[in-house]
Amino acid sequence: MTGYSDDPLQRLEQAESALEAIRDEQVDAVVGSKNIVLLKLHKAEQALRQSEERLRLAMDAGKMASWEMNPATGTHTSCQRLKEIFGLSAADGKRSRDQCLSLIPEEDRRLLVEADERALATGESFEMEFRIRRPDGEMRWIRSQAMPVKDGQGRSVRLVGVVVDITKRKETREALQVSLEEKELLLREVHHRVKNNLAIISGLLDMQCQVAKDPAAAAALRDLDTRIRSIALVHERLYQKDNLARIDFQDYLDSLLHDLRFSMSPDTDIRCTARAQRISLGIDLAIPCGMIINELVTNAIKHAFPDGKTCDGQGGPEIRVEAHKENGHYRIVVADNGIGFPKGVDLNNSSSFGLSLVRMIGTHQLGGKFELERALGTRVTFTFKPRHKEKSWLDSISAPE
Amino acid sequence: MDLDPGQKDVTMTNKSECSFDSPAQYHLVLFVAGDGLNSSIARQNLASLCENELAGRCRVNIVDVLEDFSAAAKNNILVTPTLLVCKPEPVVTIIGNLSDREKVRAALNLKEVKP
Repeated sequence: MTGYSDDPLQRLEQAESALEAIRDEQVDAVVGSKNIVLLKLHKAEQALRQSEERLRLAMDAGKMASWEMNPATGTHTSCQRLKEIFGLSAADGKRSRDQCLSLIPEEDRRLLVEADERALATGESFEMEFRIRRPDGEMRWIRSQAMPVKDGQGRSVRLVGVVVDITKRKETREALQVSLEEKELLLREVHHRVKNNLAIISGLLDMQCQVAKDPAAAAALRDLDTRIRSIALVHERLYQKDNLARIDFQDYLDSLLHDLRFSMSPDTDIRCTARAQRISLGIDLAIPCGMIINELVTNAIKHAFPDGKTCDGQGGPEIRVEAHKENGHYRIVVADNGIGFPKGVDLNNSSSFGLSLVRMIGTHQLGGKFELERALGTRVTFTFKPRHKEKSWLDSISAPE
Repeated sequence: MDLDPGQKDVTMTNKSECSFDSPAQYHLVLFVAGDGLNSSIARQNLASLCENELAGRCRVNIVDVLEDFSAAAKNNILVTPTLLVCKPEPVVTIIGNLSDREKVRAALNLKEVKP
């Protein structure tokens, strides 16, 4: 501080304290003899401007509009974009809240006003989606988020919020939903048709079987029929259930065993049971696994119980199928209490077409391995770990051995 | 003090309002530049000072140098904000946004008025 004077010494002192104030960033402008130079590069102001700029850019990027409401004074301020979103002209400055509210359908308006009041009362923020009808008649979807601002005593005194036009997002979501439903319908239809075509083939095989004079040819046609049906069953299960991508394997096995039991051996009393709880398979695994089980169970029904004989002569004939999943590995067990595989015959050297098929699908396509146990009947255990992308089972059938 | 005769008085608050009939003990002139940050801070600090410590004893003028350059030139103002304490004599100049309350009090000889 200095006294104002024309004394050169005091003028110097003044100049020095002016410089000190400039260094302390307490100065807005320097007054020259002819003009005034505004000091714009003020750190605090710059930081504030940068922060405002960042906020503005973020709001621009998110196409967000902001508003503020003070219930005590009844004032409501909003940014230009809010008016744009609601289709109001820039001149509609006053009573903008009432104008905006009048564009919201009555039910949503009531909910919004209640939510505002509740937010001010409880101090909790909220978000809400609603529709508006703009003055030009266009319907728009709006998402509004509001947060109460508290004073020193912790009372909510103001409500601030942002508003986003989510019409495009809503439309995209609805279009996606429709497209998804169409896709499901189409897929269901495809599975249905595949199953129907397989049923036609199965019917043709059945008719052919009835006119075949050679018993061996008839048996081969019957086997082929069961194979076709085991595949058709997968498609049937896929289109009948909610999940179009996977089937419940327990459900599939129950049907498969029921079909095999009554088509191949309706007069015997072989008990067939399946246990595959909480196992669901995609079509790429369900069909090869179904075919393996189909062959092994067919084999057991045909050969394990000649004249109803079992391995120990006690208890009725029984075939059990189990599927387990542990650490990403699947284990499928087909066991019976029959008389057992003939000595010297193994899965690997059998000349039977059915067992060759089992070996081919199991080892070549699924990359798994078989284990044969002969104690107390026959027990075949097949283990495999699904690869990321399965080859089509048809590839392995057509591939040269 | 060489202010323009047309320079208007600015009443900071009701408390600091003083009429010319009852001469104030203090006559303060604050030179600011528009609504710059430091100018705004100086206005607030001066308002608080007048309200609390100089209640009823001061007359205040605020000069925006962007609007009235000649007043700044006549008073040899180097930078804004600057506060001139025209009365009591001798004239004292305080440069800065008046945030250093002790410096301001010292310039106004207010040390003993309030702790």
